[in-house]
Amino acid sequence: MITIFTALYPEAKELIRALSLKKDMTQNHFQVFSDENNQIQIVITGASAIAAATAVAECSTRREPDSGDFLINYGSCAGRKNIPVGTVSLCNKLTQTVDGRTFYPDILYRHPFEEAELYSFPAVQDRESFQQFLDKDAGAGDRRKEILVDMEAAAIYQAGNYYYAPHQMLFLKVVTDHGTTQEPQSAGSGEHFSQIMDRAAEEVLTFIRQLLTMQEKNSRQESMQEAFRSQVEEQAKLWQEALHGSETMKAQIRQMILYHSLCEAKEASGKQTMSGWYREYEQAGRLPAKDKREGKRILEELRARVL
Amino acid sequence: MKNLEHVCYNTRFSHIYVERRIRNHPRTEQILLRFPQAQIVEIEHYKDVFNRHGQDCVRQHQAQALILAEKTDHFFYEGAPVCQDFGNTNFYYCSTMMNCIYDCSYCYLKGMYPSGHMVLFVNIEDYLEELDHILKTQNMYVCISYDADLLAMEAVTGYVRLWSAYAAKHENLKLEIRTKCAGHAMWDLPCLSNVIYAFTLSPQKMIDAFEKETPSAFARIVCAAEGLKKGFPVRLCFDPMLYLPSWKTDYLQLLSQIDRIFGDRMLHDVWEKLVDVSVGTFRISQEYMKKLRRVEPFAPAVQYPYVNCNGVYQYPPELLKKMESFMITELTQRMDKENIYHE
Repeated sequence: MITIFTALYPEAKELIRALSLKKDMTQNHFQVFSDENNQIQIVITGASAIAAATAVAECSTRREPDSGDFLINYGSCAGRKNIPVGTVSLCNKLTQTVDGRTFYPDILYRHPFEEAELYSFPAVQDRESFQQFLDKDAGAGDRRKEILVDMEAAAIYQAGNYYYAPHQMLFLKVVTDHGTTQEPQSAGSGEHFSQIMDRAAEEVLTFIRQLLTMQEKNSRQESMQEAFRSQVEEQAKLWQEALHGSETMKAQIRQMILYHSLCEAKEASGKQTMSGWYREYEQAGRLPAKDKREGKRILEELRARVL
Repeated sequence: MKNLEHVCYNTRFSHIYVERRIRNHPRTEQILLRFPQAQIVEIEHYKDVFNRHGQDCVRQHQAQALILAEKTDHFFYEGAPVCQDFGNTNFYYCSTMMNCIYDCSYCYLKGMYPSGHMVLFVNIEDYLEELDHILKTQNMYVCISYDADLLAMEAVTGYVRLWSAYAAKHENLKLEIRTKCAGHAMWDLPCLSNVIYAFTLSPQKMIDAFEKETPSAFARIVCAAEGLKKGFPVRLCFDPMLYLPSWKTDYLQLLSQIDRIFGDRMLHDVWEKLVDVSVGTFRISQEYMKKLRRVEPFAPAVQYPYVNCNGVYQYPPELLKKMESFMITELTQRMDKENIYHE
């Protein structure tokens, strides 16, 4: 599943429409919009680091992400003057300004966006304080460096990292201003804000659809691997019981079954499977083993056959 | 899935993380010039990226990033008991790089490091300075390409050239440069008796199965033969020997392939010209194996039911003995037994 966290509804509006997402009425802490197949959902967290981190924790606990899933933090931000309004950036460095801690999402996949550094502040930055920050701290050494500021990204990374690997988290930010005192969606600037976000959504949607295709395939592979693991586990349990084995013996059997199955899958050698051997021993009247000692003898025979 | 992901992955070193304090180091600038398209991300310390929580080493290998850093302490480590010292005293190794561009499924680095990205310490001069002090009081045998493949990265770092120049001035230093690479650039360096080029060789079937992205057996042997022909000290490492049901045939074919390639290049008595040969079956500490099995859950070479002997996972004793004895017997027919090392 791809879960997109945005602070405000106007930031997500166009994505919700284009992806035909419906409001999930069962959620009562945050607004959640999802598709019919549960492949993608958008969560409106509200502005602030704590709200965003809480939303990530709640959603990730409700449904534990697997290794093929993605978390996207999408939303508006302020950008340095050298970044035009409307630019979509993928953040490769997130700094939490309150304590100076920095986080690095792992950018393993190709993407069509510019990359930028982002600073997460506890409050909205007006033009003056943003400029001061740029002059003194962030960009002092390099005036061309692309710098963004928001309020949630660093918190989302920290919360998300309990559930997601660094390469599963993507931070996509749209520059809507160069520092402002107004809430971005407030009256007067609201329409302009929506226009910027709607235009950006077109660009972002192509990338999200690409991720969705990858995520679907990841998910299929994950299911197959899970089924394989369960099979190995079931067989190990079956053998353990039939051989009157201890937990240590079960671990040995599991490792043998796993190795044997992997070799079979790789070489398609047509070797007899462990379940075939089980039937063979059963038909010969040797399973279940008459006692633990006989169980150990059969285990050694199996080891010789597998290796 | 693999195919689609492959298409979607960034290219190797598309991202280069640079510690702020070495941003203007001449070697940093030189390396960055080689990758003009790379996205440069400034960092405080390499561990901020390398030690992140929950990284996926296997996926990272598909889009490996480079981390340029400064090493500040622990330049040399004593050789580990599972590593062969080839009869040398004062056996040390050092890591000017951490991680490898190759992607061998059984590699202990995946069990040792939290990341699949590569760290390169740009301040090699500090290593050499430390070495200056040590060499004043003792001789040293240093393996400089253990936690990486230094030769495979030579075009980027130039480190082998620097090490070679240093060794030329220090007779009481002996270096081993272990590699699976097959580039021939090092044969233009001065031929020194105290710099040993050690080639890890595996049968092609095992390279195909377990050693992703590495040069073929043929290419590695040809490269070693070229070095021998030019008089360089060359070591062949049949270590780790890996198990497949067909291991005996596979290793016999490998030895015949070596004979044939050496023969084709008119290298007579070449086995005797080798510095030595090492033989050792796959072995790995239990700590590394625990993590390796987690990150490579479907790799047969990793999931083999190894036996834990005093904290080291290895093949069952009978198989281990059979494999090593077989190889030693075969090698003995080709060279002096005294030059065959095994644990």
